[in-house]
Amino acid sequence: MDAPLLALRNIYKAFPGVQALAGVSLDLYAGEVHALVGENGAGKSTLIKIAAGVHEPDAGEILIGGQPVRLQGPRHATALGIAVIHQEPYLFPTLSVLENLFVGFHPRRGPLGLVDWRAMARRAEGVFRELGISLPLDRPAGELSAAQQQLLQIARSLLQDARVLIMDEPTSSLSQKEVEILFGIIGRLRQRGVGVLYISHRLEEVFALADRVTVLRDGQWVGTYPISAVTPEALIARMVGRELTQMFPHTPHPPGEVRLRVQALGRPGLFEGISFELRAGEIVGMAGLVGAGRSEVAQAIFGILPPEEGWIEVDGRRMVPRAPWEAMAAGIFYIPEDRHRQGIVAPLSVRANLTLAILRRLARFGWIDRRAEDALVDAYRERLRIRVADPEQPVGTLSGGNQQKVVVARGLATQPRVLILDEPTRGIDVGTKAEIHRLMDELAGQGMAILMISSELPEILGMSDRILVMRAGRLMGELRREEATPEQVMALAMGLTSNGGVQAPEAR
Amino acid sequence: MGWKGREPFLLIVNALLIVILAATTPFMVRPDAAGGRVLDLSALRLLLDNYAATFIGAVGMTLVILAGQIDLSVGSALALCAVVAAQVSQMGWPVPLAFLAPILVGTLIGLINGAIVAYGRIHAILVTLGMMTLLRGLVVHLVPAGWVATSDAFKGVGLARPLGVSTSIWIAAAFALAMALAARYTRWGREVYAVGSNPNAAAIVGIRPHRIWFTVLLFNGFAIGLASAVHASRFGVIQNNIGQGFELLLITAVVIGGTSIFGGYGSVGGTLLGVLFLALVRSALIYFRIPALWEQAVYGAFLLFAVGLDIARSRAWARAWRGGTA
Repeated sequence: MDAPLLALRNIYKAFPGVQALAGVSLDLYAGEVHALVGENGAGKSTLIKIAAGVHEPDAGEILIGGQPVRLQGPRHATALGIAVIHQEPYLFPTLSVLENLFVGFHPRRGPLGLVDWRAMARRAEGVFRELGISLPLDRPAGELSAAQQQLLQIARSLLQDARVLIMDEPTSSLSQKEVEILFGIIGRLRQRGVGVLYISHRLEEVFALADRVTVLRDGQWVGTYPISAVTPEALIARMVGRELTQMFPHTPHPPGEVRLRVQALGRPGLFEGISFELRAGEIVGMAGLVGAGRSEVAQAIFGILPPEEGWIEVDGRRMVPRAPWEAMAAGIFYIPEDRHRQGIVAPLSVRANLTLAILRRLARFGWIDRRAEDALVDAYRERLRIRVADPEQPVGTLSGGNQQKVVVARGLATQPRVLILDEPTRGIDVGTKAEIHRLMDELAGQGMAILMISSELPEILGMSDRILVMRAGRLMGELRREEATPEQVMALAMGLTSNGGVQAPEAR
Repeated sequence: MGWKGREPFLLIVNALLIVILAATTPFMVRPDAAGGRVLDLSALRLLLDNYAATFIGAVGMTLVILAGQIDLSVGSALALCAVVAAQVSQMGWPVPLAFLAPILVGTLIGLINGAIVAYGRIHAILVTLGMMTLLRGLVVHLVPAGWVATSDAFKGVGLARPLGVSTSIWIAAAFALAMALAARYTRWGREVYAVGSNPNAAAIVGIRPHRIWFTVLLFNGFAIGLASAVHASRFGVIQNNIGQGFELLLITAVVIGGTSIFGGYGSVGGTLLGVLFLALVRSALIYFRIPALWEQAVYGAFLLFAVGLDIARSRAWARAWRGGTA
C-alpha cells in the first residue's frame, strides 16, 4: 500500500487549562473515507485545526504523502492539498459563484496579468462535470442554499488540487435529499483518489459512508477500527467509557408543583415540538451534542429567540415570551453559555454587573439606593465567595470562575422561580465548579426549578433529577436519574434506537 | 467609572496649559500701574462663557456615545434652535418662553432621531446625517438674510452675571452636574453604560437597548436646545452657518475626555476637561499667532491621537479579558 495522504502521529496539544490532545494518531489513505467520532470536547476540532495548519501541535509529527512537514499556517496546508469544508461556509455572499471559486488564486493571462475569466469558467465547468453537479456561475453566492454553498466549497477545494478533504459536520444544515446528493459526491471524490476525513455526530452517516472510524475521548486516542468490525453500541461505549470519578453534591428532593411547562415549542430550522415540565425543587439536565438545539430552546423560553410555535406556562400562567424582560417578569432567568458575549459587561465594575438585572428594584424615582446596593453586593460576594478585592474593579479583570460567579449572582439577585443555566461550569476551575454545583443543589433544596444545559456527561448524570436528551432540534427522550447511564444518554443523543438500529436522519 | 480614567491626566495637562499661557502670553495677565504684571482671571472667565454651549452639547454627546450611538445632527440642530430663539424673541415672546421654545424644538429633533434609530432600526450615523442636512436646509430657508438677531431683553439674560458668574456658565454647570450624577447614580445611567458596552448582555438581563438608544438621542436633542438658547442669548446675532463642524468639535472633546468611541466607557467629567482642553488649545493658537487655518488641523490631530489611545485601550482589554469588549 502507498503511504497515507495524511498521517498524524502522536499529536499533543494543550491550551491554557486543558490538555486538548494527548498522543492522538490518525492516518488517511487515498480513496478512503475515515470517520472521526467522539463526545463534545473529545478533541475532534483541535485535531482538524492541526491538520489544517491553524494550530501547531506541541509534540508529534504530521506527514503528507509520507513526508514529514511542519505546517506554517492554513495557506501552507492548502498548498499541500489539505482542504477543510466548514460547517458554516466561509464565502463572499455578494460575489458570484465563479468569483468565489477562484478568490485568492485567479488564473491570469497576458502581459498585464489580467484575470482570465474564460479559463475560470472552463475549469469550473470541468470540476462541476466531474462532481456531477451544476451551480449557476453568475449568481451571487449568498443566494445559494446551504447545500449549494457546501458544494461550492468542495468544488473550490478541488480546483486547488486538494487531495485531503476534511468535512466538519457537513450535513448539519442539509435536508435528507441534499444529504443523499452529498453522499453521491463523496463517492465520486473517493473514486478520484481523494481522502475524506469525515467528522459527524450522526452515527448512521458514519456507518453509511466510512471505511474506518477513529474514536477520541477526552483528547486521547481510543482506537481506529474498520467499520465492519464495530457496531453503533460498541462505538458509543468507547466514546463514553470513562470512570465516573467525580463526586457531585446532589441530594434529590421530592419535586413540588409544576413551575414551568413547555408546550410544543418550536422555531422552524432550529427546533420543533419541544414539550416538557420543570417542577419546584428539581434539577433537570438537558443533554445533547453541540448543535442539537439545546441553547436555542433555552433562549426561546427566555425570549431571546422568541418561539414561533407553541407556548410556555410559568406557574400556570400561559405566555409566549417575546423578549427577556417579559420572561423575567414571569420569574424566569437565563444564565448564558457565552460569558463574554452575553454575560459580563467587562469594563463595568463587579458591583454594576451584579445589580444590572435588578436596577428597577434598587432605584427610587430612578436614583439607585447605594446603601441597599452595597448590602446586596456584600451579601452575594459572601454567599458565592466571589474573590474580588474591590467591588469597583472592572469585572473583566477577574478570573473566569469569579466572572461566572458574578453572572450567577446577578441571576440569583432577580430571585427567579425558574433558573436556566447554560453550560454553567464551562471553562472554569475545578474548585469553582464544585462551588457552583453545591449552590445549584442548595437552590433546588429551597424550591427553585432548575434547567441545566451541559455538554459534560458526568455533570449531567451527577447533577440531574431527570435528563432530557435533544438531537437535531428534537427531544429524543427523557431518563430518570436512577436509570440513566452514559451509554443511554449518548445513544439518544446520537439517534440510536433501542433495538440497536440507527435511526435515519430526518429531514429538517 | 474612576478606574484608570483619563481625568487626572487631563487635569494636569489643562493646568499646565493655563500656566504656560499665563507665563508666556497676555492671557490672564494685565499690566499694573507700575508696569509689572498681575493676574487677571477675566480672560479665563470669558473663555468659559464662550464655550458654555459647547460644554452643554458635549455633555449630551457623551451620553449618546456612552450608549454606543452617535449624533451628527447637533450642529444643524443648534443653528435651527438658535434661529427659533431669535425669531420668537423678536416676535415679542417673554424671555422665559423664548428660552423654552428652542429647547422644545431641540427635544422634538431628538425625539425624531431617537424614534427612527430605535424603532426603525436604522444606524444613527445615517439618520442623524440626514437630519443634519435637512435641518441646515431649513435654517437657510428660515434666514434668507443670512443672519437674525435676538431681542435685547433676550440678550440681556446671557450678559447677566448673577453672583459674578454669567448665566451661561450657571446653566452649563447645572446641566453638567445633573448629567454627571444621572450617569453615575441613576438606573438609566447604569443602563446606558451597560448597553453601550455589551448590548447582548444588557438585553439578556432584561434591559431594552432600543429604549436606551431612544432616550439618549431624545435627551441629546434637549441638550442641544438648551445649548442653543445659551448661545443665542450670549451672542445675540445668529448667522445661518453657525454650528457647522459643531458635531466634530463635540465628538473630539468627548473622545479626548476619555470616553470610548465604541461606547460603554467614559465620564461626563472627562468630557468637561476635554472641552476645556480644546478651548485652551484654541487660545494658545491665537496668542501664539498661529493662523486660524491650522486650528482644524490641530483639532484633527488631537482627535486621531485620542482615538488611537482608545483603540489601543480596547485591544489591551480584549486581550487581557479574552474577548471583552472590542
